Amino acid sequence: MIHLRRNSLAQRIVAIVMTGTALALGTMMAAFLLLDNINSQSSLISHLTTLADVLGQNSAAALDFSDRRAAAEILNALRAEPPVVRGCLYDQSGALFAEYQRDAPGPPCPEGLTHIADPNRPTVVRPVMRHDERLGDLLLQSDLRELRERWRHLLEIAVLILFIAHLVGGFSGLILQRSVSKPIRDLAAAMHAVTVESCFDARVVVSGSAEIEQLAMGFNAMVEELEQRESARRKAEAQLQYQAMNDVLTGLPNRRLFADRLTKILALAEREKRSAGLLYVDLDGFKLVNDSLGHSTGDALLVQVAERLRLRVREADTLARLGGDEFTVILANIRATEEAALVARSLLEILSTPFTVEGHQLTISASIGISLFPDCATTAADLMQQADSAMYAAKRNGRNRVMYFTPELGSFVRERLNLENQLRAAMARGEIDVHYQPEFEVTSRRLVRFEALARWTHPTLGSIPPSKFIPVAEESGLIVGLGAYVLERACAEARTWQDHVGYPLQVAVNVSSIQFAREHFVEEVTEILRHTGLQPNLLQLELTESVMLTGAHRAAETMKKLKALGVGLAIDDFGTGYSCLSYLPTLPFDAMKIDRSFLKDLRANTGNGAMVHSLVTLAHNIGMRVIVEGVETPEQMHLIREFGGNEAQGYLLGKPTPDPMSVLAKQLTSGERGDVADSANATR
Amino acid sequence: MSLGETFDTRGTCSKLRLRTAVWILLIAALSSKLPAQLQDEQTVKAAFVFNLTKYVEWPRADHELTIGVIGEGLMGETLKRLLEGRKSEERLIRVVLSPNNEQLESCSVLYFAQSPSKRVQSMIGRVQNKSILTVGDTDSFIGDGGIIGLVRTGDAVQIQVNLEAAQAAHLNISSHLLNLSKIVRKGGPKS
Repeated sequence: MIHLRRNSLAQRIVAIVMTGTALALGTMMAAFLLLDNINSQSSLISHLTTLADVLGQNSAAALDFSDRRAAAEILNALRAEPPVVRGCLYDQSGALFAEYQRDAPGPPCPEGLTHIADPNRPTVVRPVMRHDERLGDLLLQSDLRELRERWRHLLEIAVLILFIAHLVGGFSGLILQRSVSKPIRDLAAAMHAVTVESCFDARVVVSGSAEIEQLAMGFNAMVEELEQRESARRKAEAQLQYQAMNDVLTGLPNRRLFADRLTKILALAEREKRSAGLLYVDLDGFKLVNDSLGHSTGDALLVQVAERLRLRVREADTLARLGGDEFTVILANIRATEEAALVARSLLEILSTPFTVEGHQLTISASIGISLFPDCATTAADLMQQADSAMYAAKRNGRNRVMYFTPELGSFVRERLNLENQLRAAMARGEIDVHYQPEFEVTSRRLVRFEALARWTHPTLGSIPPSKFIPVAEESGLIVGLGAYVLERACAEARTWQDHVGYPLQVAVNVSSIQFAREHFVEEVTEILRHTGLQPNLLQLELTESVMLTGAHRAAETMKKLKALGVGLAIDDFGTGYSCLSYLPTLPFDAMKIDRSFLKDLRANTGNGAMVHSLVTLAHNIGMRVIVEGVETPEQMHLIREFGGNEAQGYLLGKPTPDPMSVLAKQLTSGERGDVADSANATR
Repeated sequence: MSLGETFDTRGTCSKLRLRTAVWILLIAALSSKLPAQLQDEQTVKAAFVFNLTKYVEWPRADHELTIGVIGEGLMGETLKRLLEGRKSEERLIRVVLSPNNEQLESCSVLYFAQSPSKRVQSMIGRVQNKSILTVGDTDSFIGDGGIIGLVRTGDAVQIQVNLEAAQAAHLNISSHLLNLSKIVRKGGPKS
């Protein structure tokens, strides 16, 4: 029912009502009693007066006839009037004629008529008249005993009424406080619901007095506002949660959610004695797209890749993007080992169709590594590492393929990571050196050029081959700095050669497709030529077929700018990469470098012989010189001369050396012409 | 009431007033001493007669009140001396000693002073039904057919009233007076 707590509003209201009632009634009672006292005194006087008049009239005859007995009898009628203490009848001369006393030995009447003033004894003196004639006087005196009794009685009633009124006031106060404090208690309850229970549906009924109504409306508005803010906050939280768990670009689960799902799926698989698989997908050549066409194009490509991959992933499986161009697929339940490869191949297949991104036709492939649970690994981390290793193995094995993890791959990832850090440190410490391998004109046997080759000699690991660290440099982006470094060193070196030879001696520098695709590559080359002071026509840049990946048109543009500078251009490792011949005439190459693989078993009437011969003819026909690399035997040298190759390079003719000046000196001392090959023959 | 009489009354106004005052003082002095000593019984009786006139209502209103005195002795003189010329309820009192028949007709009060029963009876027989208040001072007066008897009992003078006789004479006697009186029926006093 009603809880009267200490200091509660209800308690105060009840107290106020009770105090108010008591005060009002008390004041009224006091006034009433006072008035009644005055009234009853004056009515007592008037009663006494009337009484005196009546008795006087009655005793007139007694006075007339001096009948004291009769007068006393008349006065005895005062017995019926208890307040009257005494009655004294005086005759005309003022002498006491007859008297009446209420109490046996009561106060005697004074002998003569004198006015008796006594505040406790109201006294009335009235003349006894017969018509106009005054026969005597009657004095009546009463006491206040009855009056006081009556007053005490009234006081008792008043106190009783006051008490009852107090109770009634208290009770009505209780009822009244309900109408006031109930809405407030409702409000408090609703507020409790909002603050403690976070129940934002809490509303209060708008009723009661105007102030309470206003309060209730204000409260409702406040809760609504809170609710809106709360829902906005939850939305933002949900979005944050989503963003924390999902890749913003593709909407796929991110690394975190992936790790979480992988752990759960593995736990489930373990419990149900099932197999699970993990595919690690890495796009081939994505970095090139990103660097050459910009990040937005790269991002758009990733979105399309994600869409296609999603088409081939089953409901139960999880496709996630770990970042960059790396995707993973968790296969929650696989029955046979081949099932994983089947899924992986279907992913490669769906990626093989060229993408159209922002007007560019892009052909992309992927390398996929597979690891199986519980066959290969039993923990999520191991599974992850193994799939990663398998993916890199796939990349090393020529990309666009699927590979299962095998224990031999185990250390690769760590090695790669290690290598990347080492390379970074090596570049900082200047451990990268440049070696130069000579190239000779076939017919004149004259030294025409040195090819600059980066060499890394690790203080503890020793010499690290370019085939090992160049891919790492390309993957990590270190190739840009490395390439620029080598180019600058080579140009500066070549500048010094010109003082020692009487003819223009070129330097050839390899350019990675990543380097070449950079926006300001031409400006970088121009700047290096300017401050090394090397004439542009003494520099030959060697590009691989992969520069075409970013689009033949763009590549041609860059090449034209380089040509305009006067820089020579050669296509490197021809016949191993893209090998799409149709683009060849459109590009302003000066020379073609035929890959060393064509020189294996190079004899006149073998397939390779015919191939090299044809390539030379082809190159000549489209206006290119032909440089043959990897020449190791005099027979090869002979055939190249037969086929019409222009220049040659190889261990037969000269190994890469950190000191090209010694080669130069030998060239100069052994005469202007063609002894190098002979000396090479001699060394052999 | 004629103009001349009114004029006369006015002419004697101050004199009357003075006399009234003297008499009031006298009566007061007498009456205050009455319970203690009954020295002058006649004076008291005269005062009683005067006062009686105030408690009796006559059927006809008159501006004069004539008191006839029958009987010998000083009482007649006393009455004349004390009451003549006084006013009772605005009526001028005249006292006629031993009234003749004509005078008897105009009397409102007939005082029988120490009169023997026979005389009283014969007189009352004559004035019966004539609205004359008969007052006597003998013990047998009421029994003789008188209306009010003033009888001395011990120190006091007792008033006896014969209500039947009063009713026969068409006189109204105030209850105040009756309260003080002994009511006597015909044939003997009764209270």
